[in-house]
Amino acid sequence: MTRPSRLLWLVALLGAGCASALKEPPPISTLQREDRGSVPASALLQEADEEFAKRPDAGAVGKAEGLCLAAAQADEAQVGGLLCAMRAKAWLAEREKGVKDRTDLSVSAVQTGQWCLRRDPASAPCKYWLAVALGLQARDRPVTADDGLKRMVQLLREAAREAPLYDEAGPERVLALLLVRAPGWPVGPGDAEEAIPHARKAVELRPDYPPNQLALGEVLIHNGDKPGGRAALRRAIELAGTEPWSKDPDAPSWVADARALLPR
Amino acid sequence: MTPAALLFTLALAADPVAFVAVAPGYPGTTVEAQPSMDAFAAALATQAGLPSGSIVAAYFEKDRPGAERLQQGDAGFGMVSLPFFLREADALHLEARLVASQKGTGPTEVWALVAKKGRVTAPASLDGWQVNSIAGYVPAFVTGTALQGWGRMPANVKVVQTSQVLSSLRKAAAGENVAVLLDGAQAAALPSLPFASELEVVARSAPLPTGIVVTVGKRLPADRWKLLEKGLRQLADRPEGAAALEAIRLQGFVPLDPQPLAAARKAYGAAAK
Repeated sequence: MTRPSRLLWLVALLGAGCASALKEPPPISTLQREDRGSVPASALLQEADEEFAKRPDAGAVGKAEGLCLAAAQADEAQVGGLLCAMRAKAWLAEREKGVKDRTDLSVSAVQTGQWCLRRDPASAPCKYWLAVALGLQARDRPVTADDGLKRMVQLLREAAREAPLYDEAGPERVLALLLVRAPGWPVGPGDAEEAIPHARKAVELRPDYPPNQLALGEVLIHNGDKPGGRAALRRAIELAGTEPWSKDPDAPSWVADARALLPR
Repeated sequence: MTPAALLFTLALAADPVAFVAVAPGYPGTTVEAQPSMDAFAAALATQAGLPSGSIVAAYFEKDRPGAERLQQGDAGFGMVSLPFFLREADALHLEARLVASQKGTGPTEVWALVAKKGRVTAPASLDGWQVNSIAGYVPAFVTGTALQGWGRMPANVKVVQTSQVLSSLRKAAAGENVAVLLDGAQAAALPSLPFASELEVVARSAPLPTGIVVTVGKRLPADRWKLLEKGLRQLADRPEGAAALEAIRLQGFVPLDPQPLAAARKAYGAAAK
């Protein structure tokens, strides 16, 4: 599975309200999807992967999203289509400039995550992507942030325990970013110091994955370790320019993000 | 609409007034907060009976950019934290008008000085210590206003601004020579920390205003401020206003009690000399 790279969804919020981050999701059949008749789920997922690989073409990622949902409906026993839909929605929402469209994407990603966990309550990938979706939703619907960010922490801790290597150590990486970017105590779960061991763990598990070095760089700089942070960021840039990751469509954005953090 | 009313409305719409919120050390950045501030500005315009777009709003989590924004000509009113107000009111010509009522704490809050249990019994115990606080950017607020009833602190106490309060509390609990001045919300949440039993509150402030709504110089004509004041005080009456307040953790705006503010200014003035 291709990874969400930057995860810029997590924002410190001026305020955070008390609305529940999770509501009863609408049926999967009502979520926007490609109408592909009786094409088997496996073929739809393969086609979705091919479309998703065309990043940064947002149109192709949007098509992938629809194919993923069609796959989810074609095989109601599996979560693969839902995971792939959440991945595409997260990618789109991270880059969408319009608040309404972004909110629609994040809300529907949360709903997809809820269905994912209903199909497989023990699925660590479902927990991981639902956590990512909750972070996206919190950005544009601050009233869900209190509840959503708490749920995020719980879901990511569970995912890190159950599937630490998923998405190139994604649970530890996202948890580190959540802790360093979210509002701190007592408003939110943010805890910059606590982010350090999680960022280090992600690097320990997958040292060559550029976003892990990127996350470590951000966390160290935020905690005042500028030399350590810069070293990690330079390593992220180096890795993003080296195979296999230089072939990832998101590699240019990793480099841009690392360079943006470097002057700090 | 009569021609006169039309002209009045057009005049209000022609020149948007900026609401500037400054809360140094608190979460969020100007960019991140903008959607909430836009919603706040729109709801306030509706509630005040002003045309759409006649109010713009911006938030600043740092003191210097906030002060710079307040100096711009369109900045007619705003909401600032008490330490910022004490330090900048004279220089920026800020006049206190209303008080923000925060969710959880209300229009006033009690600040609390926290240290490791048993290590601090009087101000003299802090000889050579560091006092960390979200309000550390105004040292005279920390040593004077917030802790005026406790006594005079040693001259070598170092006041440090930090938004990483949890980290400071961990240092205090670990036995470092660090005390932490907490705002009302932080003090209320202290018992929830896993290491709370290792800490104690050694001093408390008098109840102090939280966010202060101010007008800037004479930039707002009296009739427009009248509309805005009414709009602010009644903002929670409409669902969109209540939602906008919720998004910035406020219940609403209430009349200013001048006495606590006067006492705070007096203590600050003495400490800042």
